[in-house]
Amino acid sequence: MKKTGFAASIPFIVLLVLFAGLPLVLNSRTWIDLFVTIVFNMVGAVSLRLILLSGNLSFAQGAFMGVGAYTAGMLAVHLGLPMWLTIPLGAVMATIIGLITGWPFARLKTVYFSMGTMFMGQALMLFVSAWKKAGGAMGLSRIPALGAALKGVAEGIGIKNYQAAYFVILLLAIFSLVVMYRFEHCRVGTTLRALAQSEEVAASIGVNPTYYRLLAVGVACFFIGLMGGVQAHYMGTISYSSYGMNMTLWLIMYMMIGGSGKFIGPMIGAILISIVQGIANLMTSLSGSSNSAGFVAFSRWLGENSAYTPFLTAAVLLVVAYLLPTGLVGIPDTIRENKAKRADKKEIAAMTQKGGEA
Amino acid sequence: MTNTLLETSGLTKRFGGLTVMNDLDFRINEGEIKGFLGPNGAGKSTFFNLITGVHMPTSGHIFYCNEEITKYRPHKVAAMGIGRTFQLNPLFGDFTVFENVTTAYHLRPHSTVGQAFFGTKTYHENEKYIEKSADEILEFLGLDHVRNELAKNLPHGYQKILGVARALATKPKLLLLDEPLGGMNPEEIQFSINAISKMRDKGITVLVVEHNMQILDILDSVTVISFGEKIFEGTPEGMRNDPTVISTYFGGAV
Amino acid sequence: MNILINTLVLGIMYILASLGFAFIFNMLGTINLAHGALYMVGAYLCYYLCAMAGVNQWIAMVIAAIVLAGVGLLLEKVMFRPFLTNFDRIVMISVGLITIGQTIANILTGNKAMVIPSYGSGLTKIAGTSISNERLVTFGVGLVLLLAALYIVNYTALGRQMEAVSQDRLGAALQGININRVSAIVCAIGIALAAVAGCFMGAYLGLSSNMGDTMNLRILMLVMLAGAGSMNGILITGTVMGFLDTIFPLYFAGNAGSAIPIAIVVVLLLIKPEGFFGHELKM
Repeated sequence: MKKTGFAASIPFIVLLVLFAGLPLVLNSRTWIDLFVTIVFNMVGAVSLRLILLSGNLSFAQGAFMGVGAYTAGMLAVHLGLPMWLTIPLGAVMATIIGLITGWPFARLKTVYFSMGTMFMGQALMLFVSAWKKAGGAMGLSRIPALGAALKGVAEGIGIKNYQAAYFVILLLAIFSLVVMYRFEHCRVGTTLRALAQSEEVAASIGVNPTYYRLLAVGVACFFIGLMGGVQAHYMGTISYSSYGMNMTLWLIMYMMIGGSGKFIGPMIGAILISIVQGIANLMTSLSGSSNSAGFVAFSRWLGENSAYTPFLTAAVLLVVAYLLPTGLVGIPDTIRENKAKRADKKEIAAMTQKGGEA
Repeated sequence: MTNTLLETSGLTKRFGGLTVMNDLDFRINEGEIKGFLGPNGAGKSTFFNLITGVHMPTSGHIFYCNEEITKYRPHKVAAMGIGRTFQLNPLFGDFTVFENVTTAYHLRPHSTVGQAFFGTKTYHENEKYIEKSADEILEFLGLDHVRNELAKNLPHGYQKILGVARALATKPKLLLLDEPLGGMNPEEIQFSINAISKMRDKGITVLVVEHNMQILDILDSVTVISFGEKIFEGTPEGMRNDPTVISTYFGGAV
Repeated sequence: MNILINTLVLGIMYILASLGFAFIFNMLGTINLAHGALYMVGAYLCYYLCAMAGVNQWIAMVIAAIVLAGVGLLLEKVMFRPFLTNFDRIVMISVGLITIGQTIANILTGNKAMVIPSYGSGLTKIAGTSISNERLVTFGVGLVLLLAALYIVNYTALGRQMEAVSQDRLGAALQGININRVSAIVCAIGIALAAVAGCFMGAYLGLSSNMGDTMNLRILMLVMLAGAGSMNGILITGTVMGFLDTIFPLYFAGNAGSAIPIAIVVVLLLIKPEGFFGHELKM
């Protein structure tokens, strides 16, 4: 595949600086909550794209995040295991469940994979809601908090507990993203892309389609499960309803708005749309300490109308679907292609005109 | 002494009530270039799909190098050393010609997922070797001047040759070519026939399905089928003079 | 007896809602993610026609069905037809539509309990048991619509064209079948049937913004268990699911009642992901 030079890594470095630097300055709980959400969504959308590389669109990523979260949460609450154990175990559990539920459908046409994961994801969360040990419909609460565990470290450096928790989450997210990036940019990623383009040909050169599809599913589920596990410990309370179909659809939206053609696409989509989703909450909280009447009024208006924000995202998605098939990061390509098309049309028009005259 | 490379016995395939292949006994010897001919709908492509495990036969057996491969899935058949091209030449359209071939080096040499992920020394050596020998294949098949074009933008004839290049990259012992000359112009046909005849020097056994009779010149032996039944087995010369073949294959015209 | 009628009512509603999804899946080879959302939109439309405009619930149902049929025509034109080879784009548009539909439903519903006026009142005694007329009416109308749909599929020119298109789009087009017209009609009928099911279920169980998700899950189960291309399979799986969804909530409280039938389906699909009644799947 293409060589990645220094220029290609600039956007990643910029993002890294922003995500490491801004939370030091914007250190209220509301801001950090927003940053944490963005980080989770980024990893989620990227993991979704990893499966898409092999041609399969998964509709269960939200549920696998839930599997990670519930596994970590229940191990901590019921067995009292420490976090450094519960979080990885959550990831492992998400991988196992992901492979078991993905396996039957990875062997069939891609459209079956979408239907199958859609069903399995919803079924999983329904089971959780019916399970008393998992807190049932009330959700699971009193999960040991990540911030509290980091109290000593945080005080040592002179930052707040939840800030320290954020940085741990950021480190895990960076680890996840780096692994998935490497996974895509070595030979394995090429094989997955090949599989997406023609399964028939891929099999004829010796690629085991089921193995590679499940490999992508496994890796993606591991990291979304990891994020789920951390999320359980960050929030302290989790509910099955936040890992349902909606969560998955949001992840799909982040990926597709950002653009699924490039690694950074889902990250950009997650950042932008998560901010849109969180803005009302953020403004309301900020307006408490503001002196500007206009700002307060505006925040209140935003807060009151926050139920309408999904319209904005949906509108963006529809615009992207019709006008920018390769998403936001694909805009330069789209412009270039449209130009080329227009030039072609002109050429053809000129040719036919000439033909008419002759 | 010649060894049998691939052999089928009593190979039968039915789709629903339709018998596409009936009780076919077939063998190809090592080092041969063999033709598998027949009119449209005779079941030639089905035969390839049965060998390579795309379809499972209704009954009968397939042996390759004395191993029964009847129930093997396509990727496993490829791993056994059987490379193939397709009639409607699907390809990795969004890859360049070069990437199409390098991607096809999946089996030999093979880097495990772990080696690829961690970028071990073996992996880098493999990749270096792959790039070098992919270029050799492209040169051998005259594709080097379109090396960096996207495969989907190639003219049809080139796409067919790219299919052969991809199959060669799997380092096959047996190469199955499905209508390699279909849709080509005379120049490309001449070039491809030359290339196929050179496979013999590379030690590759070739089984070719074709309509174009120009292929007969380079064949060692021929099997002709019609409606899933074998009607002739022998040399190209023998086939040209065989009355059954003439009546079924060339119709009443001859 | 009550179990039987409940099974039949639920089953037939599931089948009605699934038919359109299955039509689209078979003919266009793609999945209509928004099918559950459209089912919900039908129910809400019906409710608002009754509650706000004071329309009779039957007329409201007919209007909802006609409007949703129009939506079906529109979707075929702007969503399915241009992007048949591009599943990603269909997903993007569907997800956008689902989000819009659900957000509207969320805003409208709030904390209210919304129920479409009942389609029948009183009880009828059959074989010694009292059965609510609502269920009988729901079952009756559902059965008539189902038979009509089956008649269309099996005995009319349109049905034969549908079969042809679902087997081979290009071949059908070469035979002179206007595939776009057939697809559009099928989308319209399928989504209108979902809307009717939405209206009845909205009267039966009430409205909620996640009723579409719940039904979507049932639709997926029916279609996947039945397998590709199988209409008769859907009739069977629909009835079975109706039975399971009737019987388990009687013995298990809360979410367990709906979780157990789904667990059964999960196991079945792990064993046979391609379904039980479909034709052989070619990779």
